[in-house]
Amino acid sequence: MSYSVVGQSVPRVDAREKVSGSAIYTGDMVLPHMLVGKVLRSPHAHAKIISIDTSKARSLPGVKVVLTYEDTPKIPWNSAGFPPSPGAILVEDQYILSDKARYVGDGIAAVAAVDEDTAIRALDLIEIEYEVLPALMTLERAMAAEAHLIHDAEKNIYGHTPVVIGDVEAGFAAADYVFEDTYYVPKVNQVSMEPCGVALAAPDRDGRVTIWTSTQMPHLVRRITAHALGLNIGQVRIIKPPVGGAFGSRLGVVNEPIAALLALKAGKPVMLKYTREEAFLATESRHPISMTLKTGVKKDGTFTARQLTSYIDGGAYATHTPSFAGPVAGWFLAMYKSPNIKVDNYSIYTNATQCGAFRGYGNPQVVFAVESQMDDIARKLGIDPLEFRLKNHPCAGEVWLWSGWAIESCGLEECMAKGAKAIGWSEKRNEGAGGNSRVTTGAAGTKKRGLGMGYMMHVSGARPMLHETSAAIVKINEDGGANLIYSNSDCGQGSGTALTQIAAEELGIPYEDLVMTKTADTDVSGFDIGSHASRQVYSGGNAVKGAAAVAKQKLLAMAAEMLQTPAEELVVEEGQVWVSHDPSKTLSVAEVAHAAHFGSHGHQIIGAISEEPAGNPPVYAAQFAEVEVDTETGVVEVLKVVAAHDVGTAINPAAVEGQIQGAVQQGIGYALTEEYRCDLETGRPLNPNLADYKILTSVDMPPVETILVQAASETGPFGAKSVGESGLVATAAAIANAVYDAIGIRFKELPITPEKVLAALHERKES
Amino acid sequence: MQELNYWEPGNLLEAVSLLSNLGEKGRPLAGGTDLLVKMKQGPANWNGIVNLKGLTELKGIAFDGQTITIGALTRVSDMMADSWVGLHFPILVEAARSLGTPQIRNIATIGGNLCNASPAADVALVFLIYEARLHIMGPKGARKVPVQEFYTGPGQTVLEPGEILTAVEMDVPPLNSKGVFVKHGKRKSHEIALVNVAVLITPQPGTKLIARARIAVGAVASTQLRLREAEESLSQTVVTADVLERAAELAEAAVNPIDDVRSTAAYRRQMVRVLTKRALQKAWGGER
Ligand SMILES: Cc1cc2nc3c(=O)[nH]c(=O)nc-3n(C[C@H](O)[C@H](O)[C@H](O)COP(=O)(O)OP(=O)(O)OC[C@H]3O[C@@H](n4cnc5c(N)ncnc54)[C@H](O)[C@@H]3O)c2cc1C
Repeated sequence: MSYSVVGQSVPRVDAREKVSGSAIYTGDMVLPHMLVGKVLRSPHAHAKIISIDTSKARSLPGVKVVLTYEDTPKIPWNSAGFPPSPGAILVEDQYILSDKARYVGDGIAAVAAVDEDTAIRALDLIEIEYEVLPALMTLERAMAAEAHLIHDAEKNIYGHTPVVIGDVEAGFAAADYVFEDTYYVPKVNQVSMEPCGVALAAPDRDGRVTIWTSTQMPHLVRRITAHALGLNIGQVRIIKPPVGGAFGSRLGVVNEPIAALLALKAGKPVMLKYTREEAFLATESRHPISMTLKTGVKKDGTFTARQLTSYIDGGAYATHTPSFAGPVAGWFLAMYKSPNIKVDNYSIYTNATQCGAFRGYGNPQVVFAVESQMDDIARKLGIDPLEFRLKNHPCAGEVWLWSGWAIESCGLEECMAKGAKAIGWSEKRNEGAGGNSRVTTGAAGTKKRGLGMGYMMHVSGARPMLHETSAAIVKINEDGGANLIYSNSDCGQGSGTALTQIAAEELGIPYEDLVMTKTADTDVSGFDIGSHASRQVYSGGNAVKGAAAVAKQKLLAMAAEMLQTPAEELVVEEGQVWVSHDPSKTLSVAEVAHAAHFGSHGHQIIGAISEEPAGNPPVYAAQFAEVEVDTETGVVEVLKVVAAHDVGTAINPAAVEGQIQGAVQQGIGYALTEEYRCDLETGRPLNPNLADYKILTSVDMPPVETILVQAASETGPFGAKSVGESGLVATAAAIANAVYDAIGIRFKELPITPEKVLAALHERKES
Repeated sequence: MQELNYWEPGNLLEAVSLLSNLGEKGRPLAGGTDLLVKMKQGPANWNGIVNLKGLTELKGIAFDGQTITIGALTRVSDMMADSWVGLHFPILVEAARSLGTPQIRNIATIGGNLCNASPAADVALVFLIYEARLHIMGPKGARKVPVQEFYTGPGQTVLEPGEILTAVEMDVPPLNSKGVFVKHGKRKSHEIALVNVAVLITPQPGTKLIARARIAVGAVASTQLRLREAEESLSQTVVTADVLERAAELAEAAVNPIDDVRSTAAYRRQMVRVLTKRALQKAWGGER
């Protein structure tokens, strides 16, 4: 298929404002009489609140509102941005301010004052008496029979998601080998450049509140905020200005309800802006999970049984966790075929900050475990790791257990072949059990090199677990240009640009002639789920394409009237309509649009649609890493990453590559340096800042070669699938496997720090 | 929140008198890249800030052919760009290049790096092996202190209330000396050292012997350390792998690191050995 603008790396619609620094983010905004909000946070991980005295704070000049649990609506809610759907298990255990301290940083009181200094001073004047309870910072302690209950639930284990296919015990009995390993992945933070938690709420005289917020999901945030405040949907208006990165951190409500409640009580606008430390302390990070994998396999590499038991540390509030357990099962189920599969995922409360979405939504955790074990199995069986994976993964046409639907297209084999070639797989990978590094460098051969790979598949949207509704309106203006009205929840990934390309392509006008609503506004655009599950181009793209198609149909009907030719014989491309068999009979879109507006029956050509997409086509990737392990310092240096991704049709290849490159940076951090830690006794965070929480800098990045494989989907707009999350899913596994290849030591716990590597090398030497 | 008083003195004597009046309650402000971080972290027991940035007499670099004098208020980036520093004290530039980010280096000062007395400081570590002398001005007049006598503990120096570091002075090391600076962290940029090591080896002219070695390590004790025993073990010796290994072991034995969020004591101790050995190898193996 040849397209005019789809497939082109056109400049982003928001490039100029971002590059020039003129984009106005929520935190930049100022309204007349605006107050500043601040939240008082618990210093204790687990404590009863015996008393709160706010009188001194209230009497401080400049303080307009002081709120505690007493002042919040007694409506429990859940902050996770889910539409009511079969896969959404929404335990409502949150209030706008807490009745009990459940983690260090839990919001206990909030103030609005004339300026930041006064607000901070007011926080200092609030007197709280706590009765400190034991801090349950580990899964073991939280699950212990005698553990204090964090909520009014029977146990701190509050969710169990089981899946049973066949009979795993029979499968293990029939296996030639059974592998059983436990893997642990830590808590990591999204670290979006704009710290998570920025909202400006302004009440009006009609009982409505408008909230400008840095969010990924305007409509679902409207829904949850209205519910938490006891308002109607119509009383809340959400506006999403440019967002400085999200990566899942803004996948639901963050601090909109607090800002709105302060504003409503004050009768004035309130800006509530979290600091970087608060973004660590009080907003959602990626779930730590302990995963036990048991796999039965025949000598020829076919699986007889696969089993996953995982304990998911959801932190102090349920938010996403019980629903999240579903995809965690889904990733595991759908990676490899086996007649017998069993999954048991447990959701657990601990006294850590609640966990939620972070790019990949459970998939990076599961793929690290599964692909690490796959590497061990392949070595044990003496099978080529690439062949082993290709033999066992479900292919196009087969059932994909994530959705239960047939796989639309699969470019994994091509990803493997091209990726392997690019990294030098057959020349450079070491033989046998690992650790027989052929390449050693450094004085006396102290540095050893290895190669590793990991495969992953991911979703395009979350159907059928969750609804994937999107809405779009395309209106053609009198000069032939057009507007796309859409709840654009682009938070930096570039989806707004791809959607503009899709609309222009379908409508048949130049890309430059189509203007999109860059700001999402729930008063203006139709209901849209937002940015999650890598859905914007697939789900949003289908709605946008549909709306453009409706507009195009009306445009051609009008042109048919003017050209006195049946509409079926007309084509429109690049702003020009002509008769397919007689190109000399032609009109510009501008002429048609002008005639529509001001001709015999004045009307604007408008196409509108609201729909869910037909499917959920999986995407695939094979990622390869070459590492060098310094056996004297334990430092793992990543020398090169090759990321071969089947994304379906790449609507904007440069944007697709950018998504993969950026994600790989987070993937390497997950593998080697990132871990949000706390004191296990007190629950106090140890590194809630960018000095001690180590994200990689540009200097740390190895060359990353991206390879795009475009196995077009059947149901996506122009064959598109997705790319938003998948770039980091397989990275940690590829690196862990490369480390094994280099030194023959298997790390089952992330991050693979120099300390751990060195300790393991010493231990091996001693034994 | 606490009250804060702030002054911008016009000359050094005014600054000294302001600070001596404030006593324990006062702090000089240079680039502020350490001081402001501390202020953000919570209330301190001081509340008077005396900004030294207006004191032009504390800025700039002078070289007389033998001794270089660097003003305490000289920015790290300005020191890196100085051609005399680059020629005679190249590892000072190497250490400076590893300090923070370009933005930080454009604000941070040499004096701040010393007076902050962090055991992990990068530029300050190199002053130890160049055996710098620190010029100090205070209410009782001027004095000079060798840098190895400057620190008394983490964040602690011999500076009395009212005293200001005005300059750092160093002699050009003996001909053919070769230095190496190594910084070990979890990433390659924007990193506070888990361990840093600086060495300077001076060969005995016309022989294959080391005349003198200087070794300094950071982030592995309450102050930065010169490792005298390890240095002694190298003086007047012919370099072999065993000799370097032995010096590295002595280095490891001399340090006393702690466990913290950045690393463990055990790992730091091991790194002292590995990095000292590597730094010595590189210094000796390099051109002389
Ligand atoms: C993001 C970031 C990264 C950093 N990375 C590094 C790094 O990689 N390596 C490293 O070594 N440091 C690093 N630092 C620390 C800091 O930048 C350096 O220590 C810097 O040299 C301090 O200089 P300053 O002028 O900013 O000192 P200031 O913050 O102004 O002062 C530091 C202390 O010294 C005192 N003081 C300053 N000047 C004088 C004087 N002339 N006389 C008496 N007392 C004085 C002050 O009162 C204060 O107590 C980093 C800091 C930040 C914020």
